[in-house]
Amino acid sequence: MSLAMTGIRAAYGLREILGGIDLAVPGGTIVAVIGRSGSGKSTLLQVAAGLLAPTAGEVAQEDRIACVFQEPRLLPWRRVVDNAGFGLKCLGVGRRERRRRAAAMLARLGLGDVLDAWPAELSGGMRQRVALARAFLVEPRLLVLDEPFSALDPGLRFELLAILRSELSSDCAVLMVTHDIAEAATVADRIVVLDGEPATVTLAHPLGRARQPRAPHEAHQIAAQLFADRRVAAAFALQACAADIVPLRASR
Amino acid sequence: MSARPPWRPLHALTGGSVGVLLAVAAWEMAACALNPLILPPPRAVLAELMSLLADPANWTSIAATLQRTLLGFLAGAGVGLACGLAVGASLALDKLIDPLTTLLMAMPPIAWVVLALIWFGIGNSAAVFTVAVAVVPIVAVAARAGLVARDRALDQMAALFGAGPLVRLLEVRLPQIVTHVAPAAITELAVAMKVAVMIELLALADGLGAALARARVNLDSATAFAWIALVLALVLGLDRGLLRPLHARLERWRAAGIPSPGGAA
Ligand SMILES: Nc1ncnc2c1ncn2[C@@H]1O[C@H](COP(=O)(O)OP(=O)(O)O)[C@@H](O)[C@H]1O
Ligand SMILES: [Mg+2]
Repeated sequence: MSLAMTGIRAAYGLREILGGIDLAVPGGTIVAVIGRSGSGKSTLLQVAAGLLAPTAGEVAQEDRIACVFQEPRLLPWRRVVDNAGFGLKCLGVGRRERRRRAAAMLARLGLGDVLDAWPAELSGGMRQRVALARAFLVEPRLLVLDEPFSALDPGLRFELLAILRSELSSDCAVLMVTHDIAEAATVADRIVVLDGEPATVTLAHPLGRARQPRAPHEAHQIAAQLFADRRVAAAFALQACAADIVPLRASR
Repeated sequence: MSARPPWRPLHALTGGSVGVLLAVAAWEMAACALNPLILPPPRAVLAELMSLLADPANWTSIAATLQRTLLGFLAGAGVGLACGLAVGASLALDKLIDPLTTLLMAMPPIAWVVLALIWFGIGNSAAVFTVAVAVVPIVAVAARAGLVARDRALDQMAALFGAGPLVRLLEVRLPQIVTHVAPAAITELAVAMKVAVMIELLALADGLGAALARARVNLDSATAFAWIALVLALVLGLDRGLLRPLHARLERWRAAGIPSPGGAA
């Protein structure tokens, strides 16, 4: 088990954000947590990554963690190749080896021409690919993604999710949080819905293994199904719009 | 991306020194109207400057002042940077030191001269100390401001990748405070030179300040003007030749991504 959280509670000061969450991400699977903004998704990720201590519950995670955020969070004062190698630097890999591996990875992600560019000279999609390269390069056993592609257009997002599927080692566990159901439905093996104050898991919906990212029309079909479920609608404060029909099968 | 800015003949011709030329012209006119003992004409000062520079003994004076200025500046900037980083990292330390920096900034340099002479006696140490202590608070305040304004998302990113303290300092923190510390350092280099000349003039036997003191005793205004011109030239040289290029190099990345004025990039 690459990430296992049981009975997780977390709070900022007196305000409890997470109210007892059980979540398991076995190696080789992608779990997507969805919920509206402010529902506690990023908080959950911080607990998963060991950045925030839970007030109750247990977390067991792999020690090699990498992350990608909604913004690329590159160091503007470092060139692309050094940004990609940042995680390796943290692991103590020497400069030459770091640059060699970073250059190879960037070339695979289609960035072979901009190794010596500054981040400010790249487009948003390119920057996010550098952030992905930085994460892949540490060969993570647990990858946490915080709304990684929600700022990108559908084509770019599909491309990057495909890279995510193909570049990851087969036993890496991926925990992704997003407010974007279509993004979740494109790659996830399982979708978990976070709702309430404090937040709890209101629905866990298996989608089956996707070897490749699902095509946009397929992902949107899944999203449409999910939105028809009252728990999903409630999680996005859309109760008024919920059709209140066919509840999802195979859900908890 | 590297399109050249358009060629502006007037700028190229004057090298941006029109202001200085105008000041010299005004000086020349004023000197015609006044007693040369009060205001010697630029030509006389220039001739005096040339003869000063021809004497190797004077180069020792210049070297002494430069050494005091640079040593004091580097020591003060280093201590200031360390204090600013420490204070910016710990709220408790901030509360402790914040009023102290205010006091330190309120302290007149001349008061430090007196104390330094008591503590270190007449000599180099007193001069270096006085210069350093003038530089510390401004640099510390700037470093603290830079640290407070830093991008915390980058701190979090570095923590997630397991960055150690050294990587965090060199890759994440220091580059962010350059923007705040560089203008302070550029200002303080000029201050450092002023303070060094001041303590030399008041107490030391060598250096530009001491030479200035001798010119005053001899009522030799052309020599005094020449020494003053030399001090200004040194400050200008250090500023344009050392600090500004260094700053530009450290912040090269800022220029990237800004469309060049030439248009086609
Ligand atoms: N560092 C913090 N201090 C205090 N409250 C916070 C902090 N970070 C987030 N919160 C609050 O916790 C709640 C959940 O935030 P977050 O986990 O970032 O939500 P999400 O990622 O789902 O948008 C929000 O209401 C937010 O205001
Ligand atoms: Mg968030």
